[in-house]
Amino acid sequence: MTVKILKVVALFFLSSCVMPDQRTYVPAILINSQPKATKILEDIISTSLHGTEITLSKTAFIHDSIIIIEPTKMQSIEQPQGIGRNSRHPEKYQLILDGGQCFLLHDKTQLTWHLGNLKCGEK
Amino acid sequence: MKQKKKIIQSFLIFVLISSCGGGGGGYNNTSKISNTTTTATTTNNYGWTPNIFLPASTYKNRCVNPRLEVINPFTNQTYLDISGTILDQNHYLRSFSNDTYLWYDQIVDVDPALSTTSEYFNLLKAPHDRFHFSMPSDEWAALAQSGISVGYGATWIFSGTSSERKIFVAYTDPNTPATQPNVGLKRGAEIISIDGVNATSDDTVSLNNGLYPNATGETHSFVIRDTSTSELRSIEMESSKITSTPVQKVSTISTGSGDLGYMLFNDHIATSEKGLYDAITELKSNNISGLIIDLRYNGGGYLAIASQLAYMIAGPVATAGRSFELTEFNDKYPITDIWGDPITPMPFYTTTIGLSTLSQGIPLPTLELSKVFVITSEDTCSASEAIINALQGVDVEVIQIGSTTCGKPYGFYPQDNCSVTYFTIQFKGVNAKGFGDYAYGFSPENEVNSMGVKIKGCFANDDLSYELGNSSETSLTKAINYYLTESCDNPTSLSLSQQKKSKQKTIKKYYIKKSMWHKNRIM
Repeated sequence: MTVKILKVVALFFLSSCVMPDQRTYVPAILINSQPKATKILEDIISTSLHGTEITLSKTAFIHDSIIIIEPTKMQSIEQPQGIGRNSRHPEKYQLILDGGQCFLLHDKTQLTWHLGNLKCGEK
Repeated sequence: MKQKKKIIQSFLIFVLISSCGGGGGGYNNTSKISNTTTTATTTNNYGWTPNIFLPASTYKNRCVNPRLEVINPFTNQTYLDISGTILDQNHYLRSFSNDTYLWYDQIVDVDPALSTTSEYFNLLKAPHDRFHFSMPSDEWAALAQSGISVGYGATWIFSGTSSERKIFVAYTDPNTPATQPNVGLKRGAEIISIDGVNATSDDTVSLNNGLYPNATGETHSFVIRDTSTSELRSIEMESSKITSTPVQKVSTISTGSGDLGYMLFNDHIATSEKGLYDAITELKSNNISGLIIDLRYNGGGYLAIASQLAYMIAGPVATAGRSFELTEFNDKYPITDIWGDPITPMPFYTTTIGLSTLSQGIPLPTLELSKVFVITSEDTCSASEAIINALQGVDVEVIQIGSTTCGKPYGFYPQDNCSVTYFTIQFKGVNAKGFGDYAYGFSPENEVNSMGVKIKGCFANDDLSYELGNSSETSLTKAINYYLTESCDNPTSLSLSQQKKSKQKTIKKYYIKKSMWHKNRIM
């Protein structure tokens, strides 16, 4: 519990939740290989989804500015493979540049996080 | 008006039930129950009268272990749980099932005081229902990046159970641990043992741990037999993040009577919107005159993806003014769905809808075919079957090659209560002609001993001797042959046929001994 609270606090300082100007931002991708980027992005997205555990590819935001997050399939004796007929919509996040600053935008809520520690470039 | 009537009905029922037992609380004073209340240890104020149901809302969120100040990730609101009992939880499921379950009139109304909640849920279904399950809500909410999972990049298939169990590799995803040079796992390889546990062992926990690692960095050892040899070899694989490729092996096959398109479509996940868009664009540019879609391992997913693919096959003329699928609920919901919203049919989506990295609203490419070939197996399920049914609904002829599909024209709205999400069938999908009765799947017309709805095509076992998409693989050979001759006899090349007889390795699965949801599990 304490760790979770610290994580949230750390994320607050790491990436403040702000709203960039929609008229000026452009799609972005990560520049170069940034080993910590995946973890940072996973933590932010997880926090934005109220602590739901997520898994990102190491190449997330390397080739495309958008990632889609959807439920993983359960695979074990006890759990089903999937529901087979899914009407839920996945979560969509986009990396954007606004005034030279890198942000993560959550499509559904339009919330954004400033990614001060990550280097982005225009896609 | 309807709501008001419901409230009055509920009040009258409540009054009726409240007065059932005299003065001491209905539940403990009914003679039928008082002798047998052993599992419900909490006191309660509810009685059980067979076939009398209070609204599910009466009991909702009354939990043995309420989630206090916890956010529901689907609503962004705090869960509304309050302290309750097992009996509350069971009564909720009883009322909810009676209200929304598609076959509610086939549920035997059993005293909710006699079972744990999970046991009780398992009773709330029709005898023929193979799709009834629940799971912890936090697991249901677990998310991953689209197309990303933890594993080795190999998809397993099983035949038999326990001492007869065999495990094979169905296919692999490129650039994964399964395809590394020191592993070289290929379709058709048989798994003999995992971490020293034989595939026929009853130690399914160890087998599952090896087959389905939970985290990255887990190393497991396997003894396998490749298709080309009788010798065994040992390999180790370390689990990692796997990027699956739901649409693979898109190709064009020259037949001498026009070109045939082929694509392997394994999963209706979000990324498949782009995969299908790209595949159909490519096949369209190749001017194909026929299409074979390999759905044999496609268990379903987003129905919207199925709608898009059906539209891309049939085109705008065939689908104009018609629905991909209409939804039918039980007779308590003839006009609205279980949430009170009007029942609206799913259209044939003609553009992208933003499920993938493609922008919304891009017109989909179309092939405008009047006939399509689908390769199927018992793993072809749900949204995949909806493609077949929807195409038939708009008079596109579907030729089925392979074996009977799983038979799931049904759907449900996952329902959370007290940290468990319940999946109970609430509706069935019907095509533009009103047909949706394929509870036992679709079967090629010459498959014997199948209960599926027969459609044109040829029976074939899954041929593990060849890679998927190889024109020598039995199902694909039969599809090509049917395209050329409209018959299931005589493969296109006699020499090929003779060659295959000597080395063919097919899998005949032992179909559904447990819930369909466990079809990819060891049983």
